Amino acid sequence: MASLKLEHIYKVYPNGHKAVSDFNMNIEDGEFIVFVGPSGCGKSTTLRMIAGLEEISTGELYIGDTLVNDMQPKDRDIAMVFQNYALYPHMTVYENMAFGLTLRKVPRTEIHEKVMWAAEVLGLKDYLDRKPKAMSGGQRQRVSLGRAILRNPKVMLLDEPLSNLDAKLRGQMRSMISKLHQQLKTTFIYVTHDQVEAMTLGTRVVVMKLGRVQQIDTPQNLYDHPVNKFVAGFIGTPQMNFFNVRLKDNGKDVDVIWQDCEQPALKLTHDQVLKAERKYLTGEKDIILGFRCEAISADEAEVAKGDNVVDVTISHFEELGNETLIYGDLKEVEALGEESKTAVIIKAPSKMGHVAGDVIKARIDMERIHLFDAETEITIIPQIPERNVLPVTIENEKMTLFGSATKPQSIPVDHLVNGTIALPLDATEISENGSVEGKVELVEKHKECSIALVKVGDKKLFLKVDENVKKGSIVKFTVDYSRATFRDENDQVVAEPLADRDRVFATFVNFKTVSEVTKDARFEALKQEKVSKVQQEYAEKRQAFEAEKEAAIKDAEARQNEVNPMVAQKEAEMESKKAELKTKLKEARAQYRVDSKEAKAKHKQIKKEEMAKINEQYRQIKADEAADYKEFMMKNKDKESRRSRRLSYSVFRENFPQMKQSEVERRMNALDFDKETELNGLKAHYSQFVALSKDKMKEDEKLFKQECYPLETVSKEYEKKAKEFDKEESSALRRAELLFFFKYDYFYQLLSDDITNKIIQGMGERVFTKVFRIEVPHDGFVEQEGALEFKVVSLVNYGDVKLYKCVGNLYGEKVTAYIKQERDIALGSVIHLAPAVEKTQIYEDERNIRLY
Amino acid sequence: MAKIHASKRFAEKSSKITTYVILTVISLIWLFPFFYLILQSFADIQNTAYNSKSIIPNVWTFDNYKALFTDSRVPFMNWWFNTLIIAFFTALLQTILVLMTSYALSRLRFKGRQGLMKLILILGMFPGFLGMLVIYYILELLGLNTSIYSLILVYTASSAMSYYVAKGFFDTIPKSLDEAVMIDGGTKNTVFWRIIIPLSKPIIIYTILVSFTGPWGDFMFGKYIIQSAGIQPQGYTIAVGLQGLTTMATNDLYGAFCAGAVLVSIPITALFFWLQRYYVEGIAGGAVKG
Repeated sequence: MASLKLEHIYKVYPNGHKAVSDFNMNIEDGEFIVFVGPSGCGKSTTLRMIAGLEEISTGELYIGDTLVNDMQPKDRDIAMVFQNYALYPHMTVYENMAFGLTLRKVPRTEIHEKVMWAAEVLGLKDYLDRKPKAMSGGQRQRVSLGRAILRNPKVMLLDEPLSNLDAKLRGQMRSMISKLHQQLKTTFIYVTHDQVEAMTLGTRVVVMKLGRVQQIDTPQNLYDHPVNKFVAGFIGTPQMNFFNVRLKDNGKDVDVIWQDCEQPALKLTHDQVLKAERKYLTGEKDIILGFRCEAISADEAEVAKGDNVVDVTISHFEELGNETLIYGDLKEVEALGEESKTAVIIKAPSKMGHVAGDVIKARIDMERIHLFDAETEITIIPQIPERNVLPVTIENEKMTLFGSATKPQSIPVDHLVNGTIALPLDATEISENGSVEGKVELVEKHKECSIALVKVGDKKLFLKVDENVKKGSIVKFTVDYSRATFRDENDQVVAEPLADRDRVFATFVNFKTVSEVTKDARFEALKQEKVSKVQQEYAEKRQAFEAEKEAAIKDAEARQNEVNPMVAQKEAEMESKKAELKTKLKEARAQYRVDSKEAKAKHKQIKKEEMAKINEQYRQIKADEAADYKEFMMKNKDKESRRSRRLSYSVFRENFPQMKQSEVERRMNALDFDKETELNGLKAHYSQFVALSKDKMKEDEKLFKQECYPLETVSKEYEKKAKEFDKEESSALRRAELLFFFKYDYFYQLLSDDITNKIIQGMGERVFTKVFRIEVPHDGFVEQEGALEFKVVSLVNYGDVKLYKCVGNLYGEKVTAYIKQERDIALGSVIHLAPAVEKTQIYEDERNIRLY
Repeated sequence: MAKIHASKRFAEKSSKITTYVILTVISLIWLFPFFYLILQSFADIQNTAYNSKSIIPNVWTFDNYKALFTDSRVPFMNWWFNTLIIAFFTALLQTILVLMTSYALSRLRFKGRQGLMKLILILGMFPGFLGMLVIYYILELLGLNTSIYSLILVYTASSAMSYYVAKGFFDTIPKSLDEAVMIDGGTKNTVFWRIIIPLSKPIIIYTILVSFTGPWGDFMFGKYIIQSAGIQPQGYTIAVGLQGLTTMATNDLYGAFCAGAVLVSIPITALFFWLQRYYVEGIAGGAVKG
């Protein structure tokens, strides 16, 4: 049982095709995660990367706390169920399930227990001696599940396990898997293209498309709050109804207008589109309106409410028994251009007396609609809005936003009337010393965070809040104008936000290059320091190890002296035990031979009898038909019917041998399966006995050695340990000598092992030839002697946030950095800054991947 | 209605009869040399009544078989054992090599895999005897040209080239079995020895049979080495030895040649009947969906 962490996982094929792009996810212990998406979306590839069957191009995969990128599948402690079962055909069910544990050298008695347990759980007890070919698809998949669960892995991976089964079996297996998960409490990762499986099984579902994660959420949230049109259309059957519309704020409420149409058809209240940006409500942006078939109703009581009613021309019905789906076209849209024409599906309890071609009235429940940007297909009413867009006016050094106040000095706008300001959600922060005050009107709790709708003057905006904030309370918050985007009344950008991050470029170099190029003794010293630290550590460890060894050997010597007089007698005992075992095994072998011979003879007899039965049966059938024919011919004089009887008789005679043959084959095959199963059982029983007795003997021998020759055993053991220790030490020393740097023009920065690993992992052998883009946040610079030289040019004042603008020179080009510093720095002074690599983001642009 | 049916039945029957007649004629033509050989091995060719044109011998005798084991000019047992040893070791080595090559080409993706496969295909198109001269010189350089057993090396050397059939078979074993083993805790070795090999009985049998019969009946390489190295008759292989019987000055060993040719087929037949039960066992069922 373990958690999983996937960080910036990419799968890039040699031809440059990206099967999976930037997959990030934290999976908690015991979760049931489902990857779902159309074929080719990279879901199976991701699973296979987790399993270790596919190499991870870049990114890191943790199972528990261990980085497993370079680990073999067998060392990852995972189990996998394959779509096509992948059972070993030459092994019985028992052997199939035991195989993994046998390879891991688990004691046989334990294996037996576990196999029996898994067989019990999955209802396979009666089939243990069968081979896969004698089983049905559902049984085979159960064996495959059994093979996976009895290892008690940290993570269970299931790759479309049910897609080869028929619908009924699939339902049964689905509930079995669900039950298994509850029982085992292991982390499950399940890949499917079937959204029903995804919705019913998963605690969280990952929807993927073209290698990219679209949404990770609970099934209910996926259904209720899809983040984009793809997810909305993919999840839920029948598919969501989509229409092209425009939204226009008319002051009182918001009109929904079919595309290419003038008249507003539906109405939304302002509260329903609170989170939508204003640009979507101008009537100029194309919007996709989506609603599910249960959000539109043809029920009379609903229609009687009067608002948001549309006319639908029925085209056909799909009757599902408990409910009926009415397919139709919106009448209003019918007359319009081809683009706006789309079918609508309505869920109804019955046909309600309608026939195809009828025009009925239906009401759309506007509380349950979805709105997507037609260009990006992303929802315009997200659960947590990305930014607040508010009207703003700037005149005469005054800014009218939250009331009227002096404009913070550095906002690069002097005159703006009826413009807008877009503030990312993180740019506003609840704080005691905030300059703006507002009243909380609404608090929404989400899994990631809670947000509150705060009213300041006549403006409303969303803020991230902690759980303690109550509706109606007064909060203070700060505003970081450096991240605001200003637009004029024509929606043209007049001021861009200050970049969140400053970028510098660097190359990756090793120690040898650095020391040869710079000839600087400091780097040698750095290396020496690192090496000597490791040396010291291992010297201490060695001392402890030697002491432990000495004590153990001393102890063993004492025991040896004690036991010496009894050795001869024990040796004799051991010998007799061995001889006993030998005879026992011989007897068992003889018994097995006799038994299997008997079984074979028995089955031969059974087969013979069965054959005789079939012969008799078919002789009878043939005789009956012949007699019947004869009788018919005797009695009947009608020419036509005689002819047709003759014909049918000749057809019978022609087909008779085949009929008999296929019956023989069918029955003999069934008998063969029985025979094989019985023989397998005998063989399994015998070999189990042999193996167990041999194991027991080995164990006894080991104990005997330990008891009679403790000195030898202990010293051998420590020899082995010493070898391992030496190996560990030398590899640690070797690693200590490896130093890597980022080279920023003239400055070399030593990298931590962690970051080095990530970069080398991601880049492979190309690491030394590529340029890395390093994005440093404003608080990601530290002052360091000898680092990049910057001149402090000015102090940038954004009201609550103050940054120093610094200018430096890298690779002959001007570089600007905005830094946040606690201490006051005199303008015009020169400072040395180094990026704190842990806080930065590292990219490689050629392959367009993020490394850290 | 009935008439149509009857005429259809007649047409069916007559076409069946024609097919069987053709097949019978073809098989008679094909089997005739074997029958002739077997019958001749029982004919007393010393007898004056002997007529080589009559298929059924006029005088029946076992002398030909006796001669194989008694006549000092015919060290048949030596030949037989020489050939058996050569064929056995060739079969053993060749089977291992072929299986391993096929597995590698079927399962591993390495640089130049496609190129290698094509190269082998093209090399295989050259008749083997073209290289005989060179092979002999190489054997001479290695000092191996004096022994008939160097044939083992010659036969085995090119064995990896006949990987096609086994590779085709391995390709049909689903890759997910390999992956299941890897996850169960195995390595590529485990996959090969514990999964692929047990599942490949039919193809192993095929490989053994093919690689045994090749050297067992080969005449050309044996004759070449024997002649060049001047090896004594005791060191001959069966094919070379028997051929020698027909070219002797006295023609009295022709019957022994026929008898020897019959005896040659015994080990192969035995081998086939022994291995055949594994060969037909369709064992690959039930691994995956189906």
